[in-house]
Parts: sequence; structure tokens; C-alpha cells
Amino acid sequence: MINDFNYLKPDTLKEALAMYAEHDDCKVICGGQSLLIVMRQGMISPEYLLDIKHVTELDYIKFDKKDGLRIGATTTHREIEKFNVIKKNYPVLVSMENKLASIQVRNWGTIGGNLAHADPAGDPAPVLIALKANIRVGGAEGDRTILLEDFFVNYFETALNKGELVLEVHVPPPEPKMGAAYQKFNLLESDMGIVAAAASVTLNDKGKCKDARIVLGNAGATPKRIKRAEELLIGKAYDENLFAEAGKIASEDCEPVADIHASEEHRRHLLGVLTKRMLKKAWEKARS
Amino acid sequence: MDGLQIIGKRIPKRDAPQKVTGSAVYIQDLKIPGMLYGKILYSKYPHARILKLDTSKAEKLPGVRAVVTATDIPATFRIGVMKDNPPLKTGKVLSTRDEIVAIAATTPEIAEEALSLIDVEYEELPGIFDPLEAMKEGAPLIHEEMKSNVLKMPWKLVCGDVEAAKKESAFIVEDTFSTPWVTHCCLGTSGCIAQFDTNNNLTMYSNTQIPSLAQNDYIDALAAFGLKNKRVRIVQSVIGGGFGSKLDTYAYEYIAILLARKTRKPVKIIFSREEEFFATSPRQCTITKISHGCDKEGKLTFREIDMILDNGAYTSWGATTPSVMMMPISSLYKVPNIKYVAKCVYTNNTYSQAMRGYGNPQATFAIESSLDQLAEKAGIDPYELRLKNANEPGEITPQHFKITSCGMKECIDEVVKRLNWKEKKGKGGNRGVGMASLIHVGGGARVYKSDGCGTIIKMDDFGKVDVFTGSTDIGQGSETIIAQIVAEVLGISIDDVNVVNNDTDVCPWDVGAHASRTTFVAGNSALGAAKKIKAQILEVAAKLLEEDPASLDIKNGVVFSTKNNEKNTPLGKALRKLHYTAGGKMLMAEYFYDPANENFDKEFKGNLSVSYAYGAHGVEVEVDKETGQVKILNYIAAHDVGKAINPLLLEGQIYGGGLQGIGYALGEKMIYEKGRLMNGNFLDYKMPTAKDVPPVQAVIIESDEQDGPFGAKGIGEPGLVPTAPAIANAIYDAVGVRIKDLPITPEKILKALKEKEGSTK
Ligand SMILES: Cc1cc2nc3c(=O)[nH]c(=O)nc-3n(C[C@H](O)[C@H](O)[C@H](O)COP(=O)(O)OP(=O)(O)OC[C@H]3O[C@@H](n4cnc5c(N)ncnc54)[C@H](O)[C@@H]3O)c2cc1C
Repeated sequence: MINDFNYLKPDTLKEALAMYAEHDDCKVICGGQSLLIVMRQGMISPEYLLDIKHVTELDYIKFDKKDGLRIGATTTHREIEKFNVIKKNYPVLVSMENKLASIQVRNWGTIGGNLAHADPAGDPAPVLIALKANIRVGGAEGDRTILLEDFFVNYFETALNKGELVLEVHVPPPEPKMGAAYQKFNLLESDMGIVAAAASVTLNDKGKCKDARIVLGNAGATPKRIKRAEELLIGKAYDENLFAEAGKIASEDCEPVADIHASEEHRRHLLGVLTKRMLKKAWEKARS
Repeated sequence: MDGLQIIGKRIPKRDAPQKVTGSAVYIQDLKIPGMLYGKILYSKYPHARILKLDTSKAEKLPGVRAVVTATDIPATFRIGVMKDNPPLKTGKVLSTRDEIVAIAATTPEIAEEALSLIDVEYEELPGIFDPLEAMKEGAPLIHEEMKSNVLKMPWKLVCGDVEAAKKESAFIVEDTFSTPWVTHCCLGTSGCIAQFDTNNNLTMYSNTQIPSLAQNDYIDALAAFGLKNKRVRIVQSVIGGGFGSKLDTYAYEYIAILLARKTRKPVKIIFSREEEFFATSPRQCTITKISHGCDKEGKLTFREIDMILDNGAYTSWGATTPSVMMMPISSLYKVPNIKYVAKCVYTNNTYSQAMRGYGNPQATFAIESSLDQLAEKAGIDPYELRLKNANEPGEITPQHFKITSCGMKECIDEVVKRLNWKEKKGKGGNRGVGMASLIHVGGGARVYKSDGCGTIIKMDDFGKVDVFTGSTDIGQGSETIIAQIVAEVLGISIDDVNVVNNDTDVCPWDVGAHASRTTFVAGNSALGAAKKIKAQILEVAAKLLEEDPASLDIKNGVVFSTKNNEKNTPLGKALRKLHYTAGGKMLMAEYFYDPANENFDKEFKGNLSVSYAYGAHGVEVEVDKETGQVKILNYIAAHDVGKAINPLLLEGQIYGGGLQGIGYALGEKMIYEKGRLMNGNFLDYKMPTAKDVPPVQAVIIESDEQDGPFGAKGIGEPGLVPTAPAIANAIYDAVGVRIKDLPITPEKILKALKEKEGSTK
């Protein structure tokens, strides 16, 4: 049962940050799609809820060829999924969002809330990290921008300081000859992933790998880059054996834990398979 | 059948608009002035001794109106089929769903807070969570007074001579299969409101699927609580799904009664989703050892099954599912020699109940998986083996079932044709096809002394009809079906038929919404009542029109002479005439239908149902050998339903059942670790959703059942009975591994593939 709480409803970002600084034992609520679950389970019972859903300043999607993509924190999953410019320039984001929960959840849940919740099984983070995204956070004292991969600290723990909100996600402009792919493994369509893998591959003029990223979901406490496998790919030509080798490294370097849904061994195996498949898919997209 | 106006039509469920718009009143929505909220404290441990119980702090919390414990009930009062379950426990607790204290308070929040103020001191005892452990010599006794952990319900069916048949069989297979606990996942959780009047008569607002039997249970309880000879009225709210979960009365209902009595106020208890998961009774898990034989030609010679069921700590109807399992075991295909023994074993786990299929899915999983193994051993296509042994009309099965209509072969043929079986079987490429058949009761099931249902029909002043039926609509659409039947007989629009099915004060008696019996039994009852009142109407109209009743009929609400159409009167007019005449009368008819089926005799033989429903499911799957993921490419569900009174609703039953079966096959499982449910929420319990529906073709075979209303048989449960084995068989065809333990998860498939590779190297 959800505890009684005081409800704070700021209309501007400034107000929000001031209220957030002022109140101890205050939790931010946006779409509530994750927060309400933990509150209902009695895992947290904050005295104040700061509802930032009405802070329209944070509800935007901007794209500029030079600057890339900027998504405000209160933008819903559904808005991202429906945005044509994203569909065109970052199709992997749309296909990821398509399989995130149900339309009902996507209509409420926001990108800021998703990232701040820091569930290692969250879908957006691995994809955004594979796209080299940054995250802008800020409090009453000012903003700072950090790499998204540095934002995640532990299970459900981020680099946000007290009084700081997630403000924006920034994705650099798409590079030419870059492809990205993402897949989660689950039993039910659009369920949270048992594990997931995102890959991005950028090719040089000769069709060799110039840059690659492999980011795994639910493979440890935070989204997990497999740098050893990324390095292996640099300078190499398309080769299925290479993908298999990268998959093998991924299954070695990941740090999944067993739970009721899958053993650690099974997770490692799946992460290897998904890494291999996503690399191949990303590479093929980069070529086309 | 010619000239049918309403029967056989695709009529949307009548209550759909209310449900879609949110105006339907579920038990959750219902409020009664002065109502209090009840909450239950459950045991912290699966097996423990309660050393100390202190409720004083909870009692002092403002807003708390009553606290009840075991001391508020007579010590001998027990519920359940075996009377082994006190609604509030004292001394020893035997499972994590054991109720210890209950609170009534002015708000749910206060009640919840009060629970947290209760102080219980336990001495944890070692638990038994595995029925095989519990059966061992010297295992600690769950119920000491029972002297054994094996329930005193000796299930045993013997037909013919299995030992002799084994000697004569050309091929024999033997294996062990197991199934997990799965839960109904009703969107409407369990709940009730208990209210006493000043004379201590009880009204129970409830979402039970057995109003008449529940009424009986409560009357017994009231007597035990010192309120002898009291009246009990059950008022059912709109029910958000039953699937068998609401087929018994549970501790929480008696607790609500106790709290209402103590406070003199209505008390509402509604299960949270978490309670619905851990404190309701799931489908029982089974371990089934099965052996099958056939002769050189593939004619089945015998079937032998040894089964163990985890009974959990107490006994509800789950323990009696072996009686229904006997049906597929003895009578699915022609098998002359049968032996079946089942034991239900007490453990410190949750206790089970009825769930759609009532044991049939577990038994059919073992039977139909084993049959594929036998077909392979005998070198016969599994489809041919099935066809060769298929049931037929006129057959009397070893358990003494009299098979009337039977469309089993047609169902099998449809599956084969629509799946393109002959092209696809054994073709490899990680794709495969599989099938399985089913038998289920289709004409009631005489599990109690009566299998009856009553109907009352009364005509109003305007030619409209009120139908009072004993049957319960748990979402399956019985209200619509009954309205169709009555409207068809009376020649009126279905909109002119009002069905009242939720109040024991006005509705006749019925044994409940179970055993796929409602269309058949309540339908026949409604049919009988409608015919009776039609005869009365025609008699009245005959006087008015000066015509012989035999030459009158009703169409579109007008009584007319079949000889001379000019001679007619609108129904309402005839009725008003009847009411507004000195010495007038009203028209009302009642009919009680109790099918001519039989209780089992001492050997568990007898014609359980007056007709049997058949079906066959076929599936094409693709298995990802690297991940173990199974994808359903095509699903055919062919069902012999006698006659589809409403194909739209019928397909709904098939789709819904099929998807529930797919969940059972591929993902659903209540994960218990040492008596504790680990996945009691919809995030962790993997129930398929709308997005997981594969391409399903529902194929309706109409065999025109002689005893059915307009030829219909039951369809409530069959939709999920053969699903799991059909999928298991298809997976075997695709990648050559057989998973014998549901659910068939990717991890199990990969492990089996690995073992297979290892053994062929
Ligand atoms: C049924 C269901 C299925 C789901 N399936 C998936 C899935 O498949 N994949 C997936 O990735 N996710 C899934 N989710 C989770 C969901 O996508 C996100 O976690 C959700 O979108 C979070 O956004 P929100 O706005 O609802 O956050 P809220 O629930 O409001 O908040 C979540 C957390 O973030 C904090 N927070 C919110 N906004 C900010 C901010 N701007 N700055 C700082 N802190 C903030 C809150 O304090 C809280 O701790 C599912 C959720 C549900 C209910």
C-alpha cells in the first residue's frame, strides 16, 4: 500500500530545483511507471513527491545535423518512438522503444525517469551508450554533462547528487557508415529483458571497422561495455568468426547474476549469442 | 437445424459495453454504508510453532474496530473437502499462506498498519517441500492427527489387465513427466463483503462461482459459530474471471463473516494482487510416471499411470482432480487396459484448487507426450497412431463412459490439413509440427449428488422476459448464451430478455460454474423453462385469437396463427389482457434440469457426463537452437462443440484457453522455494499478454449432440487441455529434444540440446 505523502507540483524547472533542494526525504516522480511500483511494494515511503511531469521546459526533442539529438527528461517513450526525425536518424532507438513494455506504459514513462531509475535491465541505456550519448543533469547550483556510461553507478544507483535532476539526454550526430542494433532476450514480447545487447559499428572507407561499441543489458549492476571485444574489432573486415569471437569475449567479461528467471551460465551464453548477432546486424546496417 | 434466428449467430457478449466503459460493478467497486475493511496477517514461516501472539497494540490503534484470532472460532471448526483447514490458525502454522490474525478497520490503510503492530513470536520448524520427501518413512507429519502425509483419498482406477497387455504389446514406452503450479491470474482478485442484518441473517457480496454451494458452506459455518438456522443470501458482483479459483470457499470469507459479526458492520476483504498470487489456490503440480503399449499395427494395448500430487498443507478441490484425470487416462483414444494410481501428499507448500481443466491438462500432457514417443518407437506417424485409436460415437469406454456425439477424427483431420502436416512433419530446419487431442466432459459432470440447475422465467406486461438462472457468468458469456436460447424459443428479440444470475434470494439452485457445464446444463434448463412458458403463452393467445394453440407460433414478438397470418397479436397485448382481467393471472415457468449422468461407483466407473467434448490442437514451431527460444508459427485448435450457439463467444473460449495453454507450456510457473512464492507478481510471473498471441485458427466442428441445447456441448475448459503436449511434440519434431517438465523454457531446451550433442559424439 502506498504511504501518504506531500505532493509538490512545480510548473517551472527553477521552481522544481528549488523545491527539490528545500525538501529532505523527497522523491521525484515523473511518469511513475517505476516509482509507483516500489512505493506500492513499500520499498520506499518518501515524505514528499516532487511531480515534474508539468515542467514543460523538459519536454522536447530537438535535432540538429551538427549537434545531434537532444531529448528533454520528461519526454515519454511514446514521443520518442513516434518522432520522425529519430526514426530517420537513429532507427535503433525507435525499434528499442517499440519493444519497451506496452503502449500504456510508454505513454506515461519518460526517458529521464527510465535512466534515473537505473534498472540494469532497462532498455534505453545500452542503446544510448552504444550511440555515445551524454546526459545533462543539474540542481539549484547549476548543470553538468557527463557520459551516460559514467552515469550508472550500481543497481538502481546513479551519479546524481542530492538535489539534482536529469535534464536532458544528448546523442551525437549519426556518423556516416554507422550502424547500430539492439535486442533483448525475453519469454514474453516486450517484457523486461533477461539479458540484452546493443552494438554499434562504424566503418571506414575501406569497409573495415573504425569504431565499435558493445553494451550489454542486465549483465551486471550497470550497463556493461565489453571493451576487450570492441578493441578486437578495430581495423578488421566483416567476418562471422570475428563476431563469434567477440560474443565469446562478451560471455566471459559480462557479470550477470542468477535469479529465478535464468541461471548465470544461461545468461552468459545468451549474452554471447546476442553480442554476435547484434554485431553482425549493426555491421550490415553500417554497410548499407 | 433450419430456421434458427438467434442460435448460431455471432452476438457480442451482452456485458461487454459495461466492461469496456468501466461501468461494470466488480466486488472491488462495491461500497456499503458503514463498511469496514478487513486485512489478514499471514504466517511468516512455512512451518513454525506460534510461541506468542500479542495483538494489543493493534487493538489500540484508532480506527481498528475488531481483531480476530483462532480463539474467536470454535476449535473444531474446519473448512475444505477434508475439513483440515481452520480459517485462523493457532499452535502450528503449516504454510506461508496460513492466516493467523485478521483486523477490521475504518480504512484499508489503518487495517494494514494494524497488521504491522501485531507481535508474533515463532519457533521455526523444518519444513517439507517435496512430496517425495514427505512420503518417506519417518518424515515429519504435517498433520499429526492424520498419521500420514499421504492424503486419505486413495485414487485408483483399474480396467482390464495391464500386466497381461504388457506381455502382448509389440512396443512399450515408459517415462516420467511433471507439471508446475500455475495460477488463474484473474484480473478481478478474490473478495467479499459480509453483512449481518439485525436478525443475524447473513448477506455475502461475493465473486464466487458457486453461489449455492457457498451458501451451504456459510450456513454450516454460522451454525458452528452459534448462529443456528440463519438465512444466507449471496449477491454476486460482476466477476473478473474465475477459472476455478472461486470454486471453493476460503478462509478469508469466514474471516469476513467473523469480523462482520464482531463489529456488527459490513466488512469487506479484497485480495491485493500479491495475496491473489500467494493466498489463492493454484493448479496442482504433478509427477507422472506413464507407460503405454501398442501392437504391431499401432493399436493401443494399455496405459499405466502412477501419479504424485503435491497437496500442500491443506485440502481443497485440487486433491480431487485425479477423479477428472481418470477421464483422459481411461478414455482418450481407445485403450482397453488401464491402470491409474494417484497419491496426494501433504507438504508445507501452498494448497491447490480447481483450475480450468481440473487435472486434465496435467494428465493429457503426459499421455500425449508419451503417445508421440510410442509412435516413434513403433515407426508410425503420430497422426496415424492417433487416428487409428481415435474415439468414435457409440463407444463405451473402459471407465463406462457412453460416447454419444464424437468429432475427434474430424478434429484430427482438420489439424493435419490446416498445418500441412504431411509436408512439414520431420522436415528439420529447426521447424517442426506436433499435435495432441483431448476429451473432456461436455454434458455436465456428476461430481456432486446433483448436477442440476434451475431456471425461472416470468413475462412482464410488455412481452419482455425476465430469466432467473442459477448459473454464474464468470466472464465466459453464459448470460448471453442463456438469453439467446430463451429468445430463440420464444421468438422474441434477444434485447427483450433480461437475465438475472447473481442473487440467491431470487435465482434458483445450481451446483456452480465448473466442468464446462453451464451452456449444457443451464442452457438445457433455460430451454426447458422457455418451452414451458411458450406453451402457456400460446394457450393464452389461443383463447384471445380463438385458435388452436397447436397452430400458433411466435415470431418477432408477435403470436400468430400458422394457418392464417392475419390472426395475430403482439405478445405484450396478450399479456396485458391477462393481467388486466378480473381473475387474471401472470405467466411464470420454472424448470430444473439435472442431466442423466452418473456418479462414479466405488471403482470410479460410471458415465460421468451425458456427452463428451473432443478436440485436437496442432502447432508448428521454430526453435532457435542457439538461444532455445520457441516461436509458434501456426496454431490450429479444432474443437467438437456439438453446436456453436454463439461462434463469437466460442472462439473467444478457444483463443483464451489456447493462450492460457501456451502460457502453461512455455513460461508460466509459480516458483516456490522452501514454501515461499518467489514470483508473486505480474513482472515475475510470465503470463502471456495480447502481444504474445500467435496466429491461431479456431476450427469449430459441429457433431450435433443429441442431449445438448440445440445440439451444444461444453467448451469452457477444453481450449487449454492439449496445448502443452502439442507444443512439446512440435519442439521434438523440430530439434529432437523432448522436454518432460513444464514449462518448456529456453534454458531447458538448450540443456537438452547440449546433452543430446554430448551423447551422439
Ligand atoms: C509494466 C511495465 C513494464 C516495463 N517494461 C520495461 C521494459 O521492457 N524496458 C524498460 O526499459 N523499462 C520498462 N519499464 C520501466 C519504465 O520504462 C521506466 O522505468 C519508466 O519509463 C520510468 O519513467 P517514469 O517517468 O515513469 O519514472 P518514474 O517512475 O516517475 O521515476 C522513476 C525513478 O526515476 C526518478 N526520476 C524520474 N524522473 C527523474 C528526473 N528527471 N531526474 C531525476 N530523477 C528522476 C524517480 O525519482 C524514480 O526514482 C516497465 C514499467 C512497467 C510499469
